[in-house]
Amino acid sequence: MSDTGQVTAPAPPPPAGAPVPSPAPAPAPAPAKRRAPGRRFSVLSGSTPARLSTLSAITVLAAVAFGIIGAVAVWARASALDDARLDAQQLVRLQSIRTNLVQADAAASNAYLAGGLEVPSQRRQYEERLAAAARDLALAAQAGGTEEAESFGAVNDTLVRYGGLIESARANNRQQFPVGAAYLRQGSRLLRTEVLPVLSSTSEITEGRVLDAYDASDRAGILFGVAVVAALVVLAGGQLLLARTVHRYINVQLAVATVAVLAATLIGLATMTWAQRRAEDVRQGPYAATAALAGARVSAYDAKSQESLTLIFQGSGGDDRVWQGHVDEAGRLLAMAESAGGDRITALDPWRQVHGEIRRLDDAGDWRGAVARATGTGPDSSNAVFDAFASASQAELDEQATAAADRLGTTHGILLGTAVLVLVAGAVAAVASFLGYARRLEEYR
Amino acid sequence: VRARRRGLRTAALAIALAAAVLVAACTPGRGRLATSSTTTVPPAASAAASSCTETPTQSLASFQPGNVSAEAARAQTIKGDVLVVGVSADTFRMGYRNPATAELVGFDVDILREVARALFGDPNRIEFKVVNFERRTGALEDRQVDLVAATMTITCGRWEQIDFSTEYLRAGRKLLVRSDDADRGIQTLDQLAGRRVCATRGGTSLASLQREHPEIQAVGHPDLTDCVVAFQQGDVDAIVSDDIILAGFAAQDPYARVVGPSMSDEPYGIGVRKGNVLLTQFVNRVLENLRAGTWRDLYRQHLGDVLDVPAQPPPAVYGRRP
Repeated sequence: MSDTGQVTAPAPPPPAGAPVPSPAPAPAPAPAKRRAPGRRFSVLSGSTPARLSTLSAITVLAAVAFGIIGAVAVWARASALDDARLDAQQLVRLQSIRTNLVQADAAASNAYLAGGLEVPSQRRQYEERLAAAARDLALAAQAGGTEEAESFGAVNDTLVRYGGLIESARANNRQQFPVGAAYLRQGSRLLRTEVLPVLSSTSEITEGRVLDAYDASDRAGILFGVAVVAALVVLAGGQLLLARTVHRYINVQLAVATVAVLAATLIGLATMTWAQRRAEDVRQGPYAATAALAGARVSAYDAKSQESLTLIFQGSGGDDRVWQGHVDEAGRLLAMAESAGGDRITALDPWRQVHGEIRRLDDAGDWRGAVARATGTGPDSSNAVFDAFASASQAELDEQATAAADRLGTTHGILLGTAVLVLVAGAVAAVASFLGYARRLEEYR
Repeated sequence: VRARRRGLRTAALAIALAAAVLVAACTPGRGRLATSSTTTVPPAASAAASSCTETPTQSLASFQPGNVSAEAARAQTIKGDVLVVGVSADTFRMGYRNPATAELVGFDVDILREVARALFGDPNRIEFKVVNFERRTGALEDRQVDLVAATMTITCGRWEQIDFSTEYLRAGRKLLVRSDDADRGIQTLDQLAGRRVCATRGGTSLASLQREHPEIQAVGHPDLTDCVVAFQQGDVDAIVSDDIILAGFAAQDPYARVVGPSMSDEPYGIGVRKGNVLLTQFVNRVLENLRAGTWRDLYRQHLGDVLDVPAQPPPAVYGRRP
């Protein structure tokens, strides 16, 4: 902008109702009363030097505008995709909090089922999972938006109460008091009514944010297009007018400016399109697989917990439908992850079979046999078989989440580079077009 | 074998009769309904379940034991070679799982084992299904179990869905309060004005509590054990329920006491599928025999140290017609 101030020799005219922010220094007095076309007419109808300096100003401005707006557009896509990456990470974190909590609950109820002398490894697992959830919760609260901040606080509060209930259940169980089961049930219920739904709705908010980021990235493309078209029209139009005025067909500097803009446009379009396509691939590939796998793990652990709870509360062959619902949901999500390009995970099927055997034992009246199968640690116990699924799905989840983050991450660096390039190209074009018009103007002095 | 059993049965009947007369003599308020254990309620009162009113003579009346053979009774069970029963698994001392052995134990459980012993000659020919309180009658109606013994009160309403044995244990509605409140002499609901009292939501107890005692703040929970958690966490000051169930909770908490006079009688009966008259009669015969001796042993074993109620088996009331 400061360049243009130096360039335009004529004194600034009275503000002639100009809707365009360019400092249209129209010297012609009379016809300036008309509006847009009139102003344009006035630009072209003054004395030749005045006309040229006006054209020069507009062109330089357009080049600068191209550099700035184009760079902003590219940067906007870069940062939108970075937001998408961060929100995708947040989503994984939120789902892992849910998984950890359900896992802690599954471990607590499984340990309870084993009686007052609980298995130390399960006790440890409960503590580790709960601690991991608490850690992730702090990170998630930091990374989350303001609209969820309150939810995280509430979840934290409830988790403290949950831990208290589970400890009371253990203490009573240790004294062989059946009232411990009531504490365990209240704890499980608290987790499922006041913690998991809140986390699941924050997950939904976060998923929505990922989609918003993708939309923002789309809009950045439109902005870039507008900047390109405007700059090219002004540059081309300026050269056409200049050629008519001075009867020379090639102005080297203006040609350089045009080439700079064109080159930046091509590179910008190429990287932006590439980045968007890559992001789209991530969304339908690793990101979709990550979200589905994380959900599948939550459902599977929920089912595992339900297996123990059913035995503890002994609906006796009663409510296995809750288990079935969780397992079906896990299966559906695993299939979804697979169709998004993830590996096929079959480790849930063997556990289904073990669970079926546990139910058969319990329904036939062999509760103790069922409990032994459910709480044992042998190779064909429910715990061991489920662990196979847990580690297989965890490995696949890690792989997909890393792939999503990495692929979105590379777009960021390349787009930022492109933004700088566009900015530089805009500056080069501005300087070149200023010089181009200055040469012609000198001829009139 | 059968001859000997019949002999035993006759002897047991005689002892039961004597015991019932004795009990009737010892329990002043109950003399009217139990002049003898073979008391027959006037036909008009015992006719249809719909005409049943909540008076002891009508709701408590079950079928005469008669002479039902074990074979005939076995034919009325679901499996024929094992007795399938519904019990509670979290009612301390009545039906609960001993955490150390994972065995179901308690007074209800042992009464049912006695029925299995009489049916099959082996108290272990029994398969337990744990039923929730609200599923007690449903489990019978759905043919999931042959018998249910789970602190179930005999009422006219339940007679419409299932049949009952004679009463095998008499509970009463009482209060569970904190030990410091008990020391202060709190015995009744009136003394708890303005404080929070817990009852189960499903049944009539919460509604009647709110209606009859507007001075207290009634709190409802779906399950009685939830009331206990609320009680131990200080959310409620007292719990209203059957003294036998409350005594089980008090046994798990040295700071809880069962206090006060009984607010209402809760006669427990063994539930039998509706129309399964032979099995009901057989169970009544077993109960007659138990009243003569084993009943007291079981009572002492499971409830003696938690209840200050005298160890007297409630008398049998008969007169219902199939």
